[in-house]
Amino acid sequence: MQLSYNHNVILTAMKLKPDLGKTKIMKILYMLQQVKNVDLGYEFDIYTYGPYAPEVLESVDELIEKELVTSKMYRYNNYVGYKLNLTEKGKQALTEINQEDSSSLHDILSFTEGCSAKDLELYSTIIFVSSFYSRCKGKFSAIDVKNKVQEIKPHFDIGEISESYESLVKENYVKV
Amino acid sequence: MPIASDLNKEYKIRDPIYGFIKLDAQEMDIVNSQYFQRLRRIKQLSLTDMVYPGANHNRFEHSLGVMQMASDMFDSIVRKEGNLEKLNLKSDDLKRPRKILRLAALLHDVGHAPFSHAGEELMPFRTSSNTTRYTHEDYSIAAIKLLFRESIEQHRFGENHGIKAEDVTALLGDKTVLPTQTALIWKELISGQIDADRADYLLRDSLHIGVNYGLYDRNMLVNCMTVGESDDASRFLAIDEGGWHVAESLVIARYQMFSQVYFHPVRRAFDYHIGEVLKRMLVKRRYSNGFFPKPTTAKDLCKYFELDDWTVFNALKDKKGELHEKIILNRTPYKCIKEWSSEIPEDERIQAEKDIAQFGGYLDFGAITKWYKLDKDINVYNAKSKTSNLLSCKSKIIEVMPRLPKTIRLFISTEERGASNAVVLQP
Repeated sequence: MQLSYNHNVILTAMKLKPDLGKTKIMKILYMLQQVKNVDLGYEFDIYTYGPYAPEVLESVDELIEKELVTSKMYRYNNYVGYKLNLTEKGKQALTEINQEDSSSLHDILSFTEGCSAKDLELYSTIIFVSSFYSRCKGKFSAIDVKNKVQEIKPHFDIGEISESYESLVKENYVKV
Repeated sequence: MPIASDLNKEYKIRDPIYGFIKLDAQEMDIVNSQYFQRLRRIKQLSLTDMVYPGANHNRFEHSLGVMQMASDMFDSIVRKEGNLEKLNLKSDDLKRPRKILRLAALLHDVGHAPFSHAGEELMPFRTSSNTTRYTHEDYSIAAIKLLFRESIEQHRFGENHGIKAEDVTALLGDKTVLPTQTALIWKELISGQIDADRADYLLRDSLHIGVNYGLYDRNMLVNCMTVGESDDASRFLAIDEGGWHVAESLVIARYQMFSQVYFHPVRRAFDYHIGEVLKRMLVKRRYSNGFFPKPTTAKDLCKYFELDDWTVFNALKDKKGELHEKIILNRTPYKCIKEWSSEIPEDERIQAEKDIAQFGGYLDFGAITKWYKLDKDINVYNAKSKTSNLLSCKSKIIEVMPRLPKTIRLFISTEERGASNAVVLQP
């Protein structure tokens, strides 16, 4: 079965982290591409739930179509989502990704360990805004980034944003 | 320069879907600009009229329709109890976001290449090392910033609200602008699962073509648009729970239009032939090695806007003796002789390539839903219980629908069809 490199990255993430949701996989791939410079060729844009690239879901749907991944609905409080898992066929089809990318993926998964989809939404939005400022504005401060994140996501208070921002700085995932 | 429209007049344009589309003087001035008028000369569905003779409508009427549909959706959303608070808006704050949304909807397709999607393979690459191409959205965004800025920012109706060109492009995916939370909701009305773009083209294409596949209950859809709120107080565009069946019918309508119209094999063949004509025309005119000019300067953008369907038809008539030109003029497209769903086995691909080399033809990998953005799920929201669901969970039909219809087809030159058929289809 022919699988692209991106397919294998996604399968690897699912192997390492069972029960990933679609939102989480989206944010993990975003972070992998943006902060670890793993070139997956996805073009992310900012949407309601943070950075989003339709091609990521397309890749996931292709894996579901090939029966390498299962997608099961679950309900959590007032929210409905899907949990993704490798099938036996998926485990067999998986080809190892290169060492450097694998290590980057491990780093991202370990950083996001225990995070909810909402936490990842905040992390990825901070990274998006920060990289936007460094690309388009030149000079900017941490305050600029935090204020802009709050403008985009007013349901996060400034304390939460600051805390997440500092965690990202500590890992060198955003640059001041 | 067209004469500026009367500031105090409300303009009305007849439309087959909405009856009348109303515009103010600023919108009318934009519509009257040469760049917007060009959309009259870009067919909405390329050469689909080779299959469905009624498919002669254009991007001009679709753009007006999207503006009307987006406005109707906006009005329906803000009228609902509690939605203004969710959007952090007051009732006297509505003119500005409504105006920005209308301008974004009106101009969302202004950057389309000749023959709509058929020309997209000739878009230049973003950088020499990059494999991603510019899209028609990039040309629309560049046009708004480089060619329409004055009409947006310095016209009384825009100026009064302090609207900048970037407020408009933010709704179209401009990567140099960061939108606000509310703008993200409006952005979904331009480019999302239940956006004004597809809501308009499904009805319009069906009407002109004479099919019923794309029809759904427009009034119900508009009336069911709302803003949902999750436990953590984040907001999102949604459909009222009471109207989820209309969202379901929209998705089914889109699927039917893909399979019956947009991916019709003859239509796909003509996309290929017109693409070949375009390619040669660009090389002959020395347009950046056979690609459209990049949307990076006003000068190059104007050069791009010189091209429309008429330019290509003229070039086609000038070269009527050549292969693809003759095929279009005589309606003798390559024929689809074999198709595969999702993947083509290696041995069959090798055989297909041999046939193409021998008889002339091509493999078409382009019949995928990517063009028409079948990706995100649709949120269904119950305002009373403040709970949300996904359409794919509510609807058993949507749950089992193929997510990524993808067809690979082998097209072979008509003259050689019989011989090739025997070669490829033998067991």
